[in-house]
Amino acid sequence: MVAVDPDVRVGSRRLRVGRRQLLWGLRLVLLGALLGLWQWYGSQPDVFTIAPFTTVMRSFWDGIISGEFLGAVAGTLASVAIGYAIAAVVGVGLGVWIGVSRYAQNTIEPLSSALYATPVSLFIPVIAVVFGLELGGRVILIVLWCVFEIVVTTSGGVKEVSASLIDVAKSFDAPRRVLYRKVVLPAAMPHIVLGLRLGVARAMRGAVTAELMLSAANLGLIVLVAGSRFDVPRLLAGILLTMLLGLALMSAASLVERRVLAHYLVR
Amino acid sequence: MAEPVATLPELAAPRRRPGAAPGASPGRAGRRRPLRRRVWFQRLVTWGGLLVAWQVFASVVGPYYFPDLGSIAVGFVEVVHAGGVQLVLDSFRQMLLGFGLAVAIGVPLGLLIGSSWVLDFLLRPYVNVLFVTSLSAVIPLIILFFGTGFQFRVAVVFLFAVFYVIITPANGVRAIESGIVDMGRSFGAGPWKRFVAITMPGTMPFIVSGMRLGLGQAVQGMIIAELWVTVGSGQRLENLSQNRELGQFFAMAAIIVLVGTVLGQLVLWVQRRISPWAGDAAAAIEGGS
Repeated sequence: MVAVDPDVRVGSRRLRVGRRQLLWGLRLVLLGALLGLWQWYGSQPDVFTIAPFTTVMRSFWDGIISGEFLGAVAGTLASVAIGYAIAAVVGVGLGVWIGVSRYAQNTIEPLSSALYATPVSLFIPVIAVVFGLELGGRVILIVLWCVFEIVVTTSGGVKEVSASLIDVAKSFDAPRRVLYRKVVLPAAMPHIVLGLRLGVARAMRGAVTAELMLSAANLGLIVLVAGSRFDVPRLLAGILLTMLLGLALMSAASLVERRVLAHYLVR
Repeated sequence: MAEPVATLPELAAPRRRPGAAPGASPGRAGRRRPLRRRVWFQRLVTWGGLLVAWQVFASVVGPYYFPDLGSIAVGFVEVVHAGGVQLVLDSFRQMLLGFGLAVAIGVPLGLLIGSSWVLDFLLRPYVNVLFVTSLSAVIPLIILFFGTGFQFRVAVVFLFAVFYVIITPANGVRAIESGIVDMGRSFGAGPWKRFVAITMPGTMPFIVSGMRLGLGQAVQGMIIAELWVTVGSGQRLENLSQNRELGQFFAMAAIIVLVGTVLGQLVLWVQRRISPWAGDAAAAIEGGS
């Protein structure tokens, strides 16, 4: 889990700086080439499915200054936050329970693994019918999309807590509550946090899918309307916005993960 | 990997005699265990309780919102009679084309990215960005490109599956011990020989894990695509839910899940046949990322 910058490993120390600059140069060249290709392909007169990069950027900027994009991001984030909060509480709770209890392992774990393997999108039509197309249905879909990831990762982590740690705590007559709070949870923390981080990406995916497939809203609305009006620049801008939001959320989650686990990684 | 030490629940169990070996054979321990600690009894009571709760919930909210178990059983028969199984199999057959494309392109790309630091440095950002992107948002663009027909569904499945099939094998190459590669090199094995003799077998469990993850995503993509343009199984699901035939809906969903599970197990079975030394692929993954 410890990120190692790839180019730190290659080459001798003396070569490193030059090599690093070369790689970054290559990276920029590749990015430039891709954008150039996009621009060139998009400006072909007979191409209608892709708009030139610059046009997309202009549409993106229009969306930003008109406030629509930011409003959509805020709306999507709000439903992600609600769904994710529910999933985090339920998921970590269930995961820890499965981790520490034989009973839960016998009965709850098979169910949660089965649901983990079930494609959630199957339930979109029935969620629409039962919970409605608006916020309620969206939140349910987000919860279903990410909760089992959190359960599975958390329970895996708790199960791996070293038995000797628990032995020590028991030999000091630690009461159960203390045993869980001071030994089990801290020891399982890296897995719990990992599950929560993976859950963020899934929650985001669930939210966008819900906004596209239940009733069009927020980011989903932008993309859908642009697509149906054949407004390709705006469609691409909307997809770009969704990408950036996912990237920002994942970076934030990784940052939090590193912060929380900072003293686990000290060697 | 993890040593066979006592697991947490065993040690946290309150009434454990201190002398009892944690790894005692489950059969003998099972016979001495009181009824309420036996697995089958716990499952019977809990799952039975859940089914009862399902039934009660269904009868409270009514069949318009939630089907009871009887109507799911009836619905199952009706769905099978109406050709539901054939519909699901057709959907999966089309899905397999997109998934096959994803594997054919993704696995070599993943091995390449894993084998070369430079390629990894150059390509990884793109893979990562697309990996965290909510791919559903790209579907309107795919429609502009491919229309709403067969190609569209293949493209969606491909897109949903391909990143898992790239990233997991790439991590697998990383996970190979550098000592083994060094040894190959010092015994004079060229790049091709090293790839065939070390990289391929070493990453096989990861490839299969990636395929299983990708397969799950591919099924997800298949359903989303079919719901989006209302064809095949997706159309059937949509109609059933709109006509509030929820019993049939759940039966249909169960068939899809079942076929998906069988496919996943098939991949696992193949992996056990071709790389039996690797153990469970899932276990290999846990150490990898």
